[in-house]
Amino acid sequence: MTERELIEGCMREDRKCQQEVFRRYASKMMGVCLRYARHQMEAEDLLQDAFIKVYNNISKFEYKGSFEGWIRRIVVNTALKNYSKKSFTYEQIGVEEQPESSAPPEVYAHLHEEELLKLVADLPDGYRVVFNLYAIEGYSHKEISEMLGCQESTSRSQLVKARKLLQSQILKLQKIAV
Amino acid sequence: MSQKHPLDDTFRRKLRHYEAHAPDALWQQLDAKRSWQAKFSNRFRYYKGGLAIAATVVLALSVFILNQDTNSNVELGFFPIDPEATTTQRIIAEVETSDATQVVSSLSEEKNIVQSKNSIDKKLTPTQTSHSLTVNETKETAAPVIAVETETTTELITSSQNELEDVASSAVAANRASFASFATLPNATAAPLAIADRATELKCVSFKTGKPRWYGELSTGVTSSLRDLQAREGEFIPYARGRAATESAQLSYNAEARLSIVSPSGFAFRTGLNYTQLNEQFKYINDDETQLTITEVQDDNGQIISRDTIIVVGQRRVETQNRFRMIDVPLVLGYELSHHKMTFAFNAGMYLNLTYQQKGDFISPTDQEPVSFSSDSRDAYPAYKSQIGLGWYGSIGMYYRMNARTHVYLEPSLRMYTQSSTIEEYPLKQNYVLGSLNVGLRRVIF
Repeated sequence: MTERELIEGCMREDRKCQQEVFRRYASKMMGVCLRYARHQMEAEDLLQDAFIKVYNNISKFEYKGSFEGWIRRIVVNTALKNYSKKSFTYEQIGVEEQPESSAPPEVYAHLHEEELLKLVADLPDGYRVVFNLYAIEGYSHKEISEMLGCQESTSRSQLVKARKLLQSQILKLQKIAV
Repeated sequence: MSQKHPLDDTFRRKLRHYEAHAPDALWQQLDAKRSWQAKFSNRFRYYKGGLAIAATVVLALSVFILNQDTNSNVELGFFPIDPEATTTQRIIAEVETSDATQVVSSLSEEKNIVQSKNSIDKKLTPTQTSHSLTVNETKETAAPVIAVETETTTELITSSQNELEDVASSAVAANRASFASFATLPNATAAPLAIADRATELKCVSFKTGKPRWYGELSTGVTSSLRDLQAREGEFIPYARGRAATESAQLSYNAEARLSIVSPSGFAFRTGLNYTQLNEQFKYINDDETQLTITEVQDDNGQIISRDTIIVVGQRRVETQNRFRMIDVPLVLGYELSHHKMTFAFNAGMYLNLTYQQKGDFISPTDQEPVSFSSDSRDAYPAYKSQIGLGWYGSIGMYYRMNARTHVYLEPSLRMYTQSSTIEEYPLKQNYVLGSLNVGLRRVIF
């Protein structure tokens, strides 16, 4: 079944097509959800909410760009909405006191996906969202500020703090390993 | 950009396309979580083009039918003939159903027209003695009589002439084909045609002023149910999901007997009784079912000396056909448009639920284990009401006239119950939207 046929099927509420769409994209989107969520359960809830939005709004898909990209945007927006009521400004956890890391790039290269995911999941909500949007999704600070309804400078500072925290965590892992 | 920072770059490369397993149960849960409104809305959006075309066709058809009604000749057979109608109308009606010669004969017997005509003919054409009153000959004689009318002033001639005009007009109405041969006859052109026009005008007398028609209607059809389960409180959302995952709708059916009263202008009121049976399947599978059996071992004196505990682990599978039976009274208003043998009816109204009975299994809100519900048993799990109030109803009926008294019809309909079918104490609300497609037969009663 082609992607277009699947989309058409979902538009007319064909359960088989909906299930097939879920089967094709759920794993990829679960990976996205895990990056934005603190734990597995929260990621599953996010995925569920996102796919409900996908099915409910599928008639709005205009075949501009890829279907996967459209679903991914919905997943990201669902994650953002989930955190929209939380104020990032309160998330001061003493990062300012963290020393600037000078870990060489090869240190990061040895880390596995699951380890990286765990590090991201352990970030405070605001840091995690900004880091995901900027570093992984590739949005600019201007876009992030519009998406989150905050200043560009806030986005920048959140990113810097997130990097600091991640680097310190990676260094800790290195020390433990040694 | 993120690629410039080694940390960002590493995370991007490794996590951008990272995939993780999504539990299969998520699909069923999210499917159950979606509201019926969203599903209905999607279907409506998808089919709205087709619906718009159908609506346009119906509208165009309605306009066409209305125009036809005002411009075209109305078939007499469609309308009741008033018993107090004029002689001309009566003759027209009789000619529609019987031979013209018989009509003339009966008329002649009643009023001795033949006698009168003979006397007139004697005055006019003494040589013309034979007057067998066949249709064509009557037409022939009508013209000379009318021509003479201005010269003779006796009452006898006038009344005879009127009767003969009637005979001629009835003959024209009975068989339009005879007009062709009639027109070729000498002295038989203008006068009979004028009479024919008069006859055409007269036949509309009873249109839209008659009595309402009463119909008896019987129909049956398939029903598809769309069920919405909503938790009354947040803590029961997982239970709602569990129920949705273990129950599925099956094809259902309904049967209806109703009385329709249709006014001459097309407005209708319908009421009667509707029986609907909704079918659902309950399917529960637990692969890790543990069955614990404790047996007491007694000595000869009846004293318990030990207890044997047997644990059986295996799959538990429960499959039940759930049945929900409803009896409703339809209270429906409609409007009907007719064209030739087709009649279209647009109906809207309410269904008043008289009784709602259920029998089957579902998972219990307390332990998620299968339990039975039944309106017939007090021991069953209490969940459902015995009545579910009013439901909104809309339908489009398409009737085909088989003969003057009988129609067959097809009627797609939608019914929505706004009240929950469950009792207040039960943690979920359960609402239904029913779509039906009925075929039926209707017959004129009065």
